[in-house]
Amino acid sequence: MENIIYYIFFCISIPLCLMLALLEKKSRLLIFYVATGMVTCIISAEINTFLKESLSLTVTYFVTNISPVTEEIIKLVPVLIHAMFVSRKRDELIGVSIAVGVGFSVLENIVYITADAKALLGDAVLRGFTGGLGHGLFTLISGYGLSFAGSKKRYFLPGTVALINTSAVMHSVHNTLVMKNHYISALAILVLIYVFILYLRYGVSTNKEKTV
Amino acid sequence: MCPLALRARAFVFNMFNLKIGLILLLLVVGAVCFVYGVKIIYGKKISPYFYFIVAAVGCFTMGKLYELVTYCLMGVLPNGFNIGYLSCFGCMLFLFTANYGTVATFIDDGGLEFAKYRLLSLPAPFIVPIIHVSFYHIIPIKNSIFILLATVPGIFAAYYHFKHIIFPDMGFPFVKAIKGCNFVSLFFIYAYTVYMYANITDNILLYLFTSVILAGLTVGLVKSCKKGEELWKT
Repeated sequence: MENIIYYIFFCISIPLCLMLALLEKKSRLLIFYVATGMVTCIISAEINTFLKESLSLTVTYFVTNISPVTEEIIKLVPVLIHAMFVSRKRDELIGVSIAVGVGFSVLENIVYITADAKALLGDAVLRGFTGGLGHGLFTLISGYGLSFAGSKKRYFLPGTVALINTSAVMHSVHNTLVMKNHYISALAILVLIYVFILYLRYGVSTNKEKTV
Repeated sequence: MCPLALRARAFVFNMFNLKIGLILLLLVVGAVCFVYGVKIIYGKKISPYFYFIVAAVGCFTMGKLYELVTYCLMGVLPNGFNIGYLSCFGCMLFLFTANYGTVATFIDDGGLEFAKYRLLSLPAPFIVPIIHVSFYHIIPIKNSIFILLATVPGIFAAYYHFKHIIFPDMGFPFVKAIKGCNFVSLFFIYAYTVYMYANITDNILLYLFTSVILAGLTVGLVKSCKKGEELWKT
């Protein structure tokens, strides 16, 4: 089977899209963006393949320095479209960006695991944690920042570009560690960022409620 | 291996360790400053200016994490483009946005009365190209171009930073609140530009010097943010 990514994409996205009409508005939005995340995965896979072949770069260099940039730009496009044409509400943008990131990582993880014939259950679990947490968090940071940067036209463009840069650098750090089989270090960094965001989301707001 | 070669190898190895140590210093300082900065500003009704300054520190820290991981796992930074340039670009873009996007239009309507401040600020951005000119012959032209591109937002940011340092308060208390922060950011941009060259040239003394200064300026950025935030409240 050539281009297994398309087989898997249609197997997952068609049921999701069929059920969209039956869902409530909020759930529909999230499921739609999970499917969109898968589309971004396919687009970035195609662009990465094209760039890798045309630039004739080594795999290590490409994975650590080029693919994080293309992936982060493409993943941010649906979030950006949502922010520009649908809504700039912070909660909604956070939900959308997480959904896009999760959709992207689901398809990417399945493709990686099915492509590796020797993959064990442990590999799949580890991949689920690192890839899932990683893509979810990288897009979340862009989406969360976009809810600030998107509030004014004057800093929308520079703010968005700077955010893409930040998430691309984070993505590159993650890819470098994973490339060299330092899965635990990659996971540790992601967990630290995850806990920090959790603290901001729940810890700070709880403290504020107490002081009020 | 002859003793001289061994000694040379040990020397290079120590230099390598020193470089990793300095990146680690910048990473730790950046991470602590970022967390502290977020704690100062998060959820408070203050100008987005401070948000962008803290975001710049975050982007800078990410770049150091990339450098540390790359040096430890690969030994050297890739020749030519590497994603560390994007961290510099992002950091300087955040610093530019802090002034351009949030306060520039509020205090300066483009009228003649403020023309002298705009003119006086013009030399400030030229220091960044001067740094480029003084270093470009030491490193390969390819790297020089990447560093130049990465620091382009810094050229524009330097103009606004300097302008808002010399700008009169004119009944805008926030101009006073951001003055300290602008002062530190201006030197941060210059130091970061020199650091980018020191990183490529392997001039360990210059690297040591710029790293220590950058670490100090990162602390200064967040400290001045704290002061600015206090002034903002009053």
